[in-house]
Amino acid sequence: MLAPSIFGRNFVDDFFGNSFDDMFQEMFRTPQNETMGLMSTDVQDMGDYYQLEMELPGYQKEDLKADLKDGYLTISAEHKEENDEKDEKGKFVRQERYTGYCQRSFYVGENITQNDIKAGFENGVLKMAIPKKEAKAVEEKKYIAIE
Amino acid sequence: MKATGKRYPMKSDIRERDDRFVLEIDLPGFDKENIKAYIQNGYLIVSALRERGKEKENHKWIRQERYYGNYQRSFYIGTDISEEDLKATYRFGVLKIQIPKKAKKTEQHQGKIQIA
Repeated sequence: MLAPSIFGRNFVDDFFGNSFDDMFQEMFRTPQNETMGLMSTDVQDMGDYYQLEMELPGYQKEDLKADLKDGYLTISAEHKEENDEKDEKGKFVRQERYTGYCQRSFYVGENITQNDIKAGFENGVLKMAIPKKEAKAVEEKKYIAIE
Repeated sequence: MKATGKRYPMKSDIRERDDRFVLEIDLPGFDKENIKAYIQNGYLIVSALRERGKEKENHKWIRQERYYGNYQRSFYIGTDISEEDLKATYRFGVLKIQIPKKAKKTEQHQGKIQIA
């Protein structure tokens, strides 16, 4: 229940959607309640790139991972034991914060490579700049040879 | 220790230790200067302001889930505790306040809690 959903409700529709932009926007339409307020994300179109800002309070830089695979950018966070400067003694009187593993994916297109994305992390907010890249003009249709 | 306020967005943990309570509040992406904490009538009040940067105004939003503006939440801590008893730090987007169970004997007056 606490893990954020990875894909939007209309994921299948998105996948077979038309243009890059349509897919991108559809992806970003995940209803808030599906993410339980975790990894709340802003995305803005800055002209030649997309600016993504994701809230990850309490995590440190070393706890974060970002992968690119099949056109999806996946950001995951998990507390690492070794950078424990926290004191976790005492019993909980109230617990609302989620400090376990979480991940979230965004469709960014298959033309984006690792080197294109710039990222920074400060005060619990991950900022990423994802350049817009034109999809290759016309994709060759690959016909299946019928023998 | 009771807490009032919305469950979201200032998600908070409170842990009880032998001599104190440890309060941790998620406040990602704030400037330390924009977080204020003070005591009023036995309530510890934490308020924070986050404004949307000017550079963002003229660009198209594709998705907006984060909240900008004023945040406030209060926690009942009793009337014996004053600002001097509390220690606060802000790290990695989390405000952490240590609240002793027993107050030092000091005169009560209203002041702001230093956030280190």
